[in-house]
Amino acid sequence: MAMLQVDSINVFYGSIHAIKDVSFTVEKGEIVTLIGANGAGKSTILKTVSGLLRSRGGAIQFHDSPISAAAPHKIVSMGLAHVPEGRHVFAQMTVEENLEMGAYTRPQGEIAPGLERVYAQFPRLKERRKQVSGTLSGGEQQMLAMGRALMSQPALLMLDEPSMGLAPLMVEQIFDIVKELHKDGVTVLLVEQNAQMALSVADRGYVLETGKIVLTGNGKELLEDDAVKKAYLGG
Amino acid sequence: MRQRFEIPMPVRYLVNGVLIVLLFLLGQFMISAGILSSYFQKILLQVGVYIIAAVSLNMATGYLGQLPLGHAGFMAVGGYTAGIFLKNFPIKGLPAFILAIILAGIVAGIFGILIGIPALRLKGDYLAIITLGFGEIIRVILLNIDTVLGFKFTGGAAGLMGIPKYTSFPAVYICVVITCLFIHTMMKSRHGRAILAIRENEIAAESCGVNTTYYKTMAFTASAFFAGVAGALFASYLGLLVPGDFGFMKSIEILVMVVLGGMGSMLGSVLAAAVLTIVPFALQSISQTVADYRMVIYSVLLIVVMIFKPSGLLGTYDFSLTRIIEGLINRAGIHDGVARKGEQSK
Ligand SMILES: Nc1ncnc2c1ncn2[C@@H]1O[C@H](COP(=O)(O)OP(=O)(O)OP(=O)(O)O)[C@@H](O)[C@H]1O
Ligand SMILES: [Mg+2]
Repeated sequence: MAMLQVDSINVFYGSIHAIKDVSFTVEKGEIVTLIGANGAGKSTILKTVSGLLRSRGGAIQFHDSPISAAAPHKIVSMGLAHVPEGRHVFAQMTVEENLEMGAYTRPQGEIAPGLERVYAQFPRLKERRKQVSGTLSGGEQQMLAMGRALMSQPALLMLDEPSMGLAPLMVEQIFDIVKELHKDGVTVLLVEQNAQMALSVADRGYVLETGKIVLTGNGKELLEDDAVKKAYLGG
Repeated sequence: MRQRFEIPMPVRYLVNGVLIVLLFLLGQFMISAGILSSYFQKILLQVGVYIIAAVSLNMATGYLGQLPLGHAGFMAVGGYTAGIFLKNFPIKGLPAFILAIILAGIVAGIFGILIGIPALRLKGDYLAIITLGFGEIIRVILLNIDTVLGFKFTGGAAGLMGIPKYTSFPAVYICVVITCLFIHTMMKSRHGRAILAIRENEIAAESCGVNTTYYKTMAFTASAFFAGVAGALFASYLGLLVPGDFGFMKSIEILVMVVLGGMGSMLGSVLAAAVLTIVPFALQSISQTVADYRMVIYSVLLIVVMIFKPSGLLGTYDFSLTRIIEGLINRAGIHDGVARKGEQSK
């Protein structure tokens, strides 16, 4: 069975029906991407999977256990990490303290090896480990948010628009890191507006339009799909 | 490589323990030798009560990052709980007093949970508004509940009279030490880190696996608990409680202590509470009119601090004697000797 299985979830904001009967799966070892325009409901889906929002009906299974009613902190300790949209760092803490907070659900002994791993993946963070994270650049903060999520040793990493507001070079770096994490065996669910980039690294993708999945396929297929080209890839 | 000298943990505790005992003995000596007149002793007791109030509010304001405006309400709950308990409990003396203090903390803590759970769920400034309302509601209830019940319970506007007076220097001192020690230990633990993470960024804290609802409620409840303890000491110090003692202005006074001292600095709260408790007495001895205008003085003081040092006098600095000793040793370069000695003894 799939690592993450989402079955016909429906999410409402008051009377607004934001997510309509959405189902998708993520298999172990995959990079799966959800793409869609502003307001399509990408962030809402990730928040529902990580327990911050609740689905009305439907089911979410992670590693074969139902998580649609579990509290967010429980879900993190089950190995599902969520890097929320918009680079949330603990601004007054140093880089290293941020990373240590990332291991909050793990035993004390895992902090040191965890730091070593994350510093190997993000040499830039190592250089800046004593810097107060509020003074990092946008790209560095994004790296920190990703590194912090990795400290919890997740089996599945959910990234919400990691490339948002970054210069092209930094975007490439971020995606290189995603590829490397994937090589190291981390499964990734990637939400992006940068469809070109996302689809080129992804094994499979789902296209979301106003709360509904309208198209699915492997990364290459979607990149060459006419409708996708027209809507998301600028012709 | 030249390493920084660090005092080992047990020695740290020992140094702090010795300091606490010495300070206590000094106070006791000054009282028994008659150096502190009974007037000054009274001030000293009040200083202790407000230290507990300020340090506990700092927990919710400085560490958790909320803005409660009803801290005096929790003191009132604790004070009246202790007062009514002490008046009616058949056994008198120290055991009754200890029970009353604990009970006061628990009842205030329960009110903290009841208010915290709904108020902390909402984002933004709701907690300020809800606690503001709570403080006023408590005061009005204390004022009117006797007429509703039809028998004497809180004493209404005339006040709750004849509370046995047990509050002494040792009692206040021990409560201050316990409060500070408890909050300090908690903030240095895993729980403390979770609370600080919530203050820094709640969304990030949640995504790190911190149970934010639990920790917000827990910190707020601990804050209310110790406010209740302060209220109990206050009740048994005065022997008489009137609802007016715990109005909105009292909550603001405690908040001013925390803000002036530096939100998130326990030492700041302690010092500011001491100074701002003593100042009114000093003003009073100059002239009553000046004392009546002290809230004006506070406001000006607050504005000045906000302009020149928005983080409060001490910022988030926390006092550590052992750290100062370490600093001195490191600067003097004595530490090579000390370290070598340490190696030899191994
Ligand atoms: N808290 C909220 N209250 C009401 N409506 C909301 C709320 N959050 C999101 N929505 C609505 O739900 C829909 C989906 O929002 P969501 O944030 O999931 O979009 P998104 O695909 O992540 O968009 P973007 O790419 O801009 O981040 C939008 O129409 C949005 O206006
Ligand atoms: Mg979004």
